[in-house]
Amino acid sequence: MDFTLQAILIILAVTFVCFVLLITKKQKLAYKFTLMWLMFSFAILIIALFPQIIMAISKWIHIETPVNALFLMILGAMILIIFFITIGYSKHNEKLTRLIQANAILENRIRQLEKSRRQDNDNN
Amino acid sequence: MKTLIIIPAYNEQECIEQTIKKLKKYVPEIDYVIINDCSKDNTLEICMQNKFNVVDLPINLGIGGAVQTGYRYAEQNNYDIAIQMDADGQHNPEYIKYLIEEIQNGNDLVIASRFLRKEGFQSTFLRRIGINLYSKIIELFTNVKITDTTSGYRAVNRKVIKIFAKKYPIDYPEPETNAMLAKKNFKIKEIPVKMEERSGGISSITPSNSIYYAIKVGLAVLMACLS
Repeated sequence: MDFTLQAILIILAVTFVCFVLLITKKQKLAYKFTLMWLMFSFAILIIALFPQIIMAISKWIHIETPVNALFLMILGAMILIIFFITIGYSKHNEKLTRLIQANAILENRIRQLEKSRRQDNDNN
Repeated sequence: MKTLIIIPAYNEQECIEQTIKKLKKYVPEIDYVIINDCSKDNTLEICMQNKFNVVDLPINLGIGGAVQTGYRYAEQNNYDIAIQMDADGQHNPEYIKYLIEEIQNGNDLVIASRFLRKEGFQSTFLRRIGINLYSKIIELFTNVKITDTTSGYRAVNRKVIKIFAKKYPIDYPEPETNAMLAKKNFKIKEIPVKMEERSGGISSITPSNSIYYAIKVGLAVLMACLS
């Protein structure tokens, strides 16, 4: 891995960390996701500072150029993150459905109660 | 036994009034609830004008979410039997008494099947292929023969109401839930009915999304059979 790529990775990782912290400070990101992205940036940083790691890995999995091993790893991490997001999204969808249903049933109930109260008033 | 008829409705302004009036004529003593799934037409207004009992979903949930709302309503209001019926006039209310009878005979799920006697509207050719396929899958894995796996005209008892209130698939839910109940050894029975062609509205299955649905439902049925 050449020096320019190392520098780019370090700059990107540091910028990203700052951005993540800023967004977290504005309370637009939950802490568990902050932690995930910080760990991700930290991993990139480590790789950029100690390129021996990526070289060893690329040799180990028979990829000729270390930078391709790096790309493969980042791609893998991305796929994993997206997969977990779809799991979270499904859970969220179910919660939302519950809420909408409960709300609609309550609204029906209020209408029924109002109707019976009106009838009571009419009778008195 | 306290019975509730669940009628999911999405853009059914042409037929909802007629369907409910027919229902009230055949079974005036049975409660019903219309689940308006955020219709874009005048379905809700028609229900309100006629003072029909309607639960109005503020956001469109799709057929599964709408029907589940009915099951939750049934659970909360302590109904013993819930009957699912379409708003579009395909399902004739004269069969309701037979559905209830079979639940009282000890069945957990009673499905109105248009294929048992092969009378009335038999659905389109492509849909029949799908229905047959799901039927075969369910039979293969559970040894339960269900001819009309996609029938949206069915009755369940309190035990199943509770299960459906907790968990119900989002779209095209019937084959999956049938497979799930068959797998869990619930007692399932089909009765022969004659279904009409829909008198208004449009099917939620269009040619362009049918293949996607067919595969998705196949997967869902398979998962339910294997779980």
